[in-house]
Amino acid sequence: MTLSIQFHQLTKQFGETIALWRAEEQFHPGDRISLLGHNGAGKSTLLHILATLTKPTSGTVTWHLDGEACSDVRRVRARLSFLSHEPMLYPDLTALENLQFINRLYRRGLSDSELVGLLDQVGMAIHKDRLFRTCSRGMQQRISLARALLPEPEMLLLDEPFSGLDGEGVARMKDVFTRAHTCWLMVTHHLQHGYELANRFWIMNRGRLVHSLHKSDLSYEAYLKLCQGSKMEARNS
Amino acid sequence: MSPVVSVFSAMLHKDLRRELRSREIFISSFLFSIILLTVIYFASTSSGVKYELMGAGALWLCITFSGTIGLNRTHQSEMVNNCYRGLILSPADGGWLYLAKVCSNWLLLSAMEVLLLPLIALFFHVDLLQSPGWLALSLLLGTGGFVAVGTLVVVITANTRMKDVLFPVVQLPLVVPALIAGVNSTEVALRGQSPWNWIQFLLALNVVFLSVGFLLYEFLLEE
Amino acid sequence: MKLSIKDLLIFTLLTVTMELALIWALQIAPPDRMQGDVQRIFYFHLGSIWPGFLAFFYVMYGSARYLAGRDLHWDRKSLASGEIGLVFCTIVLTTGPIWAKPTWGVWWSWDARLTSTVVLWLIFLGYINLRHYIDDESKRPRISAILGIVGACVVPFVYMSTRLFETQHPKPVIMGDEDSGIKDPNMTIALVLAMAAFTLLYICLWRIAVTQFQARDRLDKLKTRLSLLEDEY
Repeated sequence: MTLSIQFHQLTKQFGETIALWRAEEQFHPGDRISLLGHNGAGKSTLLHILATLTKPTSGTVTWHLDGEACSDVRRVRARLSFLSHEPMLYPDLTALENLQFINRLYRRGLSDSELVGLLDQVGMAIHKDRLFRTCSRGMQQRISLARALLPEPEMLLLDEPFSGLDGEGVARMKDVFTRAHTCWLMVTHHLQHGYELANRFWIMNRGRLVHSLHKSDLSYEAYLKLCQGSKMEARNS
Repeated sequence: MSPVVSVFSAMLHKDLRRELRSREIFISSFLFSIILLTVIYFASTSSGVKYELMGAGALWLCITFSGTIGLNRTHQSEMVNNCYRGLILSPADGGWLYLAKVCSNWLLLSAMEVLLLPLIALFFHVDLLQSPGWLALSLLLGTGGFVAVGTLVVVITANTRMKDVLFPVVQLPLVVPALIAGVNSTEVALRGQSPWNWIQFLLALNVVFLSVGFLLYEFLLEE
Repeated sequence: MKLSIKDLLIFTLLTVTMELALIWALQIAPPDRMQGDVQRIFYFHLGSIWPGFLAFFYVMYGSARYLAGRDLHWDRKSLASGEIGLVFCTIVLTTGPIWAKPTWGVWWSWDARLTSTVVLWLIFLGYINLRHYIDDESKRPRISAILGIVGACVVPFVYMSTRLFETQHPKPVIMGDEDSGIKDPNMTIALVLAMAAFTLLYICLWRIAVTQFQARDRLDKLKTRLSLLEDEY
């Protein structure tokens, strides 16, 4: 059960604006990548393309499932999870009902007690019958994490996953992300988390993927300099 | 569970439960229908039309307008928290997702028609039991045609800047055949006759648009 | 813009048929026995509804091709066809009342043909209009293509339902059925010529519009490349 992604000359244009320009990289099983860059660098666009949400203007993405290239997006979608600051859960349903919906949609066949167990992992089991709309921002983010983990994805695509979480919530989420065999690609502006959790870094600037580095090649100081450098460059130009 | 059954059960559970809990669509469109019926009474009597003859037309006017409001609302509830993105990212097949959505919209609209019928009978002195079978069939198929097109169009217009205005403007010309057939078929059924030719037409319409939606919905599952 | 031989050929053919159609319709064809000279507008009326339909089915074909291959050319081709179809539909809707007033005595009657043409016009308008409200240019062709296909599928049903409606209800005005007038062979010739002329006009306009869209696309592409070059320095 492995999933890897390869993309080649990936470009996305919105009219005349270029959001992503000829990006090329690979995502191997076991990678934990922090995707960094200033606002408008094209991080989210890249993430959306890899999550099968949008199609690139030109260039190709190849998803390899168990070593074989797979062009059926539905099979890819079953093995990916996307977690962003927008929860993708229905406000008029309770936390448990929302998970039941996802459970049916993904045909996971989990029982209600297993779903409650999942909520327990994010510390939300006591709020299982609470309407999602009445939950606080941080609680909603925790339930979203439970939602993302429900399909047992082989890869998580994360867009600012820590937003709105309290200290305990952050700790729980970090716990999930550092579990064995968890691979992810995370867009974040929190430089410390970005360094701590990842083993690889992609740094983007103005639609281009400018650096791709391993943690072993990069000290925290050099990392900070690089991240800030990409911001400075953007400000100067 | 087979993939089709799971998609249907997920969608129906979710939509019906949400509607039963919030009742937002039901109450607002039902009240709207009552107001509409009053307006139709005044409009028809003041222009010299016998309002007793307006039964079928009034019913379909209510279905059209509250159906449009309802479809718009149900889709808006998918847009809150970006839930629609969740549907896009699910491994479920687009075509079945569409049919499941049509099914839940159709159930909600039919439930509202059941509540409207006694009102029509009361206000317009219509005998609903002349040929109840044909009446039910006309309403079911007419609503089916309306919802089959509407479920597709509401997602199309949701991608635009002025979705609330654009949805009825784009949707109404496209449901004209379903409305013409629905209103005529209902009218014939209320007179106690058989609207077989209209029913045939409605059947063809349903088959065509459900298939078109089944094939095209896949292309709407993208951002 | 360089004109190809094909363009010139079509244009010459268009000019010739249009002239012939005018001569036949206005001069050679005899006036209608009941309606007199007014009836002559009918040749142009019917001549423009035909390209209107053609345009719509081309929109459907082009949209399907776009969705299948995601080639932007097909989007431009269907858009051009849709815009020209709307123009022809508008011609039908304006010549109709001009003809209706002297023959039926009213500018408008809810005749099956009129009703269905209005609905067709509204569907066209919806298709053209939709794209102006989609901000994301990468979405625009896909969403419009879906609406184009749905719209084209509705058109036959609109015509069937209004016909079916009319067979059950008495028509408001019985006079002026267009088939009743055609007895003289010159009338048929005029009609055929008018239809051919308008179809050629549709093809001609469509080719111009497509070239125009393509030129605009090329310009946009050049602009993007220029801004990229500026980035480098």
